[in-house]
Amino acid sequence: TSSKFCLKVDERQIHKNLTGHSIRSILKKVQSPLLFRSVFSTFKAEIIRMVEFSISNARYTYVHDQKYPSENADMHHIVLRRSGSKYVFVYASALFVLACAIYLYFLEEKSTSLVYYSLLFDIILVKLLLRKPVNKESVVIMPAFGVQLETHYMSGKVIRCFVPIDKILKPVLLECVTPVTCYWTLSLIVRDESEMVLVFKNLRPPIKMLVHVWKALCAATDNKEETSTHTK
Amino acid sequence: MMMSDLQQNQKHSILMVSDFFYPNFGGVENHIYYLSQCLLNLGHKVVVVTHAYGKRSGVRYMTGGLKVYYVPWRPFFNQNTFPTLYGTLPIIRTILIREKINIVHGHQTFSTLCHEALMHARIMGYKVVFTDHSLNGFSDAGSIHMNKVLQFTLADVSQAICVSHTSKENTVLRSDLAPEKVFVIPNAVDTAMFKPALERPSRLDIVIVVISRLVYRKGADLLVEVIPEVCRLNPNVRFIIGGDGPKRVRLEEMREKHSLQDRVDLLGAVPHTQVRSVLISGHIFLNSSLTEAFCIAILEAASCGLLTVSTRVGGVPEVVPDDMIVLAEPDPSDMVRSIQKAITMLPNIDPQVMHNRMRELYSWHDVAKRTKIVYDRALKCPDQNLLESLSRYLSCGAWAGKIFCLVMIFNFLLWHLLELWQPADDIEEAPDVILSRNCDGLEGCCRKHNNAENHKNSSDTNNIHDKNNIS
Repeated sequence: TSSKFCLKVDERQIHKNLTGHSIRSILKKVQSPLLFRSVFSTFKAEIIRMVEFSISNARYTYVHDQKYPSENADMHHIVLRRSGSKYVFVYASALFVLACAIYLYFLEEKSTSLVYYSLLFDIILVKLLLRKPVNKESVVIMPAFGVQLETHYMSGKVIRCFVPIDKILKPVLLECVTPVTCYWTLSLIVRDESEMVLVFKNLRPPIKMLVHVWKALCAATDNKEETSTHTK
Repeated sequence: MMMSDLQQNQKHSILMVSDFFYPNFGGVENHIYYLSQCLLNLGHKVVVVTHAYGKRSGVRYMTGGLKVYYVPWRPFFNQNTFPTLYGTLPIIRTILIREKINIVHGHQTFSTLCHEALMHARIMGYKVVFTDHSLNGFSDAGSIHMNKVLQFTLADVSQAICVSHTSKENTVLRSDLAPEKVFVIPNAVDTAMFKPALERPSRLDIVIVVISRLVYRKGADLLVEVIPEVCRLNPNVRFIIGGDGPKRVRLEEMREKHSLQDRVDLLGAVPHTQVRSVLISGHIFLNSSLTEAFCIAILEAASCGLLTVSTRVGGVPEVVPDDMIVLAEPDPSDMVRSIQKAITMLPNIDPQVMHNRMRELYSWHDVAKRTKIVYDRALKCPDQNLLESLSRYLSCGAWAGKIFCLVMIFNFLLWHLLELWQPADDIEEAPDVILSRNCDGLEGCCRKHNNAENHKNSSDTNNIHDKNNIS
């Protein structure tokens, strides 16, 4: 083969030590398509893993997108698994209230205003409990540039918020206590502002998913500090 | 022998629950803080739960890695959380699971959060220890109800701790608790902070110091009678009174009436950090409380080298040896006589000797070791299911017993409902915090006992970064 790069393949040894980064650099250097194909087939499993790394639990799925390594954008998504049970419960209880009101109206001769009030109550209940369903929240990290926080709704609407890299002092993992529970959040301490910026505003993913995003954010902000000290 | 060694070295995860904690200052608050610091030094894990103080809400870390949860429940009366019986179940359950607690330690009868937390912990099967810090009456309406609540909480407690033998008698009578379950562990004092002055104040003028809240319970009315009489009998005596309260007005009136403005100083509220500087400016400490389970103020005064004159009430006679204190009946003439006796005893008092004796007698480190023995005993108590506990509640009274049983059954059902709604596996465990241990902040209070013990324990708990490497 006419490639400038000659691979010594000792599969067992290479499998153990190879990381996604080194596979990527090897693939970049390989010019012959035959060699490329053989390298690809040898490390197919690792290469597939590089593209998408994900963890999931009953409610959330975390996906780390590395589809565009050359473009230096690191994307992390938290996708909410839609549970039908919540919808079933809310609609069932609303139906129950309406049914009671109608029963009272027809069989016990109460006034129609009761039916109207129950309808109103149902609409308020549905609106409160099922409002603005969020499909996915993403973090796009562009080192040396900034971090973009996106919220994707079920209706297709996307709300984006950009935080420039020099405004971020530090990403932190915090425990938040409410009167009934305690959960972890990931926030960014932002320069010149008294309030922190919540990275995942609507979803509450578990700590094992937040840790990966936090590490990526730390790496991005630390790199920024190193480059700024070098230029100085 | 091997088994007992293992048990000796077993490290516990303790949850301290009370409505009274920093940023409030007081006997209970200091007790919880110092005890927690010494337990942390011994290698145990301690977490404190209290209600939010103003804007101070959420998780805070104090010296030594002490984690404090300020739960945002609003206090409604006398710093107590509003009692909702079952409202605190979700947050207490979450905290117990995420911190991997094995013992719950509640403090003070008058803390509603404490009672609720102990009830929830019992229903979930945790071992429970209760410490009572004050004496309470039996006759008025408020006391009767509070005693019933105490009886409910203590019906099923694993062990209890009281701060003096008098307090143990009082608690056992109020709550019908078996005396074998009650341990007596007196409070201690931070002798490193309360040291006598390097230069003794001159004895031309004898200074009598009073530091207490100026309320009826603390005998402010007695002071109003005693001070003019002592000033009349001894022209060289001065009084310094620190503290504030509703009775301050009476003291000011007394001062005006007898023209004692140059001999009686009213300092107002004294912050805890300045108590020592007020104490060392005096020779005698006067305590006129009408009721006291254990008086830490006397310990602080003795540690600073002051001779104490006090009323003989409650647990006061148990606090210091007889040569460091002169006791009197809570009667003005008897108190005046005792103050005269104390003035004659003054030349024989050496503050440094007194301080050294206090250092031998009292230390928070000792309290922590004794408390650990109580925890070990509590953990050895057999596990009980709901039916066995219910039989204990039924014996609390004809009507009260049945009400208590219903409350516990409903609590049990709510707990299972919560387990379905939010399973325990969904609650993630919080990483433990390790700090580099240096005793600068704790000086003599909790001396690091055994370096080897601490190093051995650090392999059990994880660094906050390491725990996050969850693959």
